[in-house]
Amino acid sequence: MIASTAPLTKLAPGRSGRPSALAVSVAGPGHIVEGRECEDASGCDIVGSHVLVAVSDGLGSVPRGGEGAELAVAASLRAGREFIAETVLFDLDELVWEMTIGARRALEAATADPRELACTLIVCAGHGTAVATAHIGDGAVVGAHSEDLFVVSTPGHSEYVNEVEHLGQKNWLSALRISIRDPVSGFAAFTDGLQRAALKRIEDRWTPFAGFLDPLFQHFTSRDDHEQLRKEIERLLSGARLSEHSEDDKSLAFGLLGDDRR
Amino acid sequence: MDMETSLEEQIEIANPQHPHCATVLLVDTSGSMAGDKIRQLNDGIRFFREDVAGDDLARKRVEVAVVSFGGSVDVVQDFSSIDDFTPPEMQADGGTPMGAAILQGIDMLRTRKQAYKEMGTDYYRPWVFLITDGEPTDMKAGDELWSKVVEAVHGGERDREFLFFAVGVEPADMGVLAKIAPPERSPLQLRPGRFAEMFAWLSKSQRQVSASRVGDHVPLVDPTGPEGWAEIETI
Repeated sequence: MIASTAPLTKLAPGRSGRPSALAVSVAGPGHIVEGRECEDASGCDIVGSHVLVAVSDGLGSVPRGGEGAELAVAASLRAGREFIAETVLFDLDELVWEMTIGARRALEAATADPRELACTLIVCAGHGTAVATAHIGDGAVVGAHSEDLFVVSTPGHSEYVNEVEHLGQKNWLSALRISIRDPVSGFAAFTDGLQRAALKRIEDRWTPFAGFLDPLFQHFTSRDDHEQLRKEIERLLSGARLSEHSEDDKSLAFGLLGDDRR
Repeated sequence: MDMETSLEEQIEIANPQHPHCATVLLVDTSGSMAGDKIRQLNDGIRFFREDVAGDDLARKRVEVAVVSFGGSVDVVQDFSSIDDFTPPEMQADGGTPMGAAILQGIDMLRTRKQAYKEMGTDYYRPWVFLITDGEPTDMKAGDELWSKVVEAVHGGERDREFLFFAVGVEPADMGVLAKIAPPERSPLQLRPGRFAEMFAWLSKSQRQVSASRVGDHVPLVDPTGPEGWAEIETI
């Protein structure tokens, strides 16, 4: 994947015009203290001119939540690649639907009771100037275009902070939310470990917090070296500032759309 | 942007406040609590405050309020952080206006939750923790206040507004308490002299809840176990 060398506006397509993506997950301080593995998972891929991203948070209430998150992310990206390869014409919402179905089937194939692999899931597919998301549970997707930041997909509704809907539940379809946004230059998807850093919530209205997201988007668009960028994001997610406010694992994935319209 | 500045130095946090975990203690300070019971109750609340304060995460997240009912209903302590909570030295006197105290506590919880929403603060499902050694003197089964209180408790539990725990101290009428407590959670009878253990359990439970992450089921220690502080009447 290739990072852009865009000027430092809020977000602009790379000079190369090619899309790019990056996904990072780190264990939260609470998990490290308890000797638990990171139960978040994330991944991304560029397929032709499509940007695919997935992030997932394995629920701590089940012993195999982390395994569920890994399965869901890997299966959703695989399903996305296959759908793009096999389908001539499609809409982005069809693509994220197929990615989600792929993730759910992976859980069903791994266990008789997918609740054992309970995890949230956010999948994003970007192309041209649009992004589509499919989302179960908390975490969120924020889009950027020109000078604007906007929430593409909000955390799922739950009154209490330790309750969430997940991909493993029986009525998972009723919890699935699909959104599409156009125009978008880039987007960030993240799990709940970053929710209180990246979003403001007043009553039930969520808004993006530029104080957190602007430096990240600018960093992402200004770095050529994705390995270096990955290390910097890992340091940030594991660092004291974010750990002070969330014990949880953290995942952050970026997608930057190209400026071609293939 | 200054490339030499680390990302960590550049970012700001949208909601620096921790999610909150609110508990209202409804404590019987009627005349029958005089002597050892009110002393143990006061000691227990002091222990609870110190024990929660000793846990770094819980100290930032647990909020507590105390409503006493002995002769009158008094908000001894409105919701405050553990750091700002000064355990009261309560005296025992008067009748047992339990019904009004329960409504007061539930009303305070609703107000607190609304404040959390307006501030954009995440929160856990709050707790109501009732401790009494008597039966209510301001209501009787079937009267208007009784119906209102039972509906508030049962409806609140059913609608997942809060978790309601009722603890009876000898010689509390456990039959009456069982009718007030939600059907999902029978009242517990405190074993004689086990106030300290009860507050240790409450503190531990609050520390567990306040450290829980999304999707966690918090397995509370069974207070009715062989080493526990409570019994459940089965008759």
